[in-house]
Amino acid sequence: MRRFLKPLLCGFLILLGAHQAPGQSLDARTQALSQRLRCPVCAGQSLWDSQTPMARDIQRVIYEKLQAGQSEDQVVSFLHDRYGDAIYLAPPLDKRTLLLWGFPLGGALLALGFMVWRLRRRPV
Amino acid sequence: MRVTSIVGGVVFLALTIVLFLSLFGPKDDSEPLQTLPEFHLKDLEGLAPLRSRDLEEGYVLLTVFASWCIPCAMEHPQLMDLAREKNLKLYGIAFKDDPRHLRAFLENHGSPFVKVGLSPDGDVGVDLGISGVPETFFLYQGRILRRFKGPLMAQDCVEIRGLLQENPPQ
Repeated sequence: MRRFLKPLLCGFLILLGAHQAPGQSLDARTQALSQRLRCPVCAGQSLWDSQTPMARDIQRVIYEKLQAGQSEDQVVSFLHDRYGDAIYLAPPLDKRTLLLWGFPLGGALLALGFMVWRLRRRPV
Repeated sequence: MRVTSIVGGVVFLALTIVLFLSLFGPKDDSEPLQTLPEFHLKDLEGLAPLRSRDLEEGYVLLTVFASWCIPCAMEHPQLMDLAREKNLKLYGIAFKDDPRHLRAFLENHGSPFVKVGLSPDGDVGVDLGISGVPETFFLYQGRILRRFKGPLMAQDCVEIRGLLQENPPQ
């Protein structure tokens, strides 16, 4: 068993490293950012999934800005200044979206409270 | 069980009321860009380039369009009509277009523009935050007052004419 453990562990670490490494490359950073942002033409798709020329243009701009040394936050801020909140694939958490984000959590807490209440009431 | 039904009913009712009221609440359709980003585009006629700072005087209508775009041809008569307004200057940005096709387009349909800047690679599109062509910006002293996505319709021209009468514009 021990004979296999070492190569297995090495293999796992190599795979982990291979998975982490593209995170440093420009392509991977562009991809990661494009997956978080919404295509302004096909509203249901991320920039990465969208095939529209506009989405490709924005991806190119993201790549160029990252290449020029800008941070992810700066690129997102640049696009947000131009496209507004619609550029986010996940709506940002603020007072307008509080109900949207809060409802699942509130609903879960309510359901949990209800379960506890019912269990306590159940005759032993 | 009765208490549960009441609590559930109250929560459901409260949620329904909040969602229903939000239908009539203020909508966030604010323009993300307040002013035009800086650009410097080659002029179609080979004259002085079209610069964003050239559009900072008085009322300006800036249209991003292309000769290959069918909705752009559809809105063209509206632009020709608006070009008659004395206190409005129209500028165009040709998006990913071939100058030869563009010249033919403007010869066929007429040119309402004071100047047409060329953006052959479409770089200025993302800078302006457009989602396609045509898209039109209505500006006063360089400030974006309205943005029209898609072809300008008759009611948009009525709105623009109304804004031209406003002093100072809102």
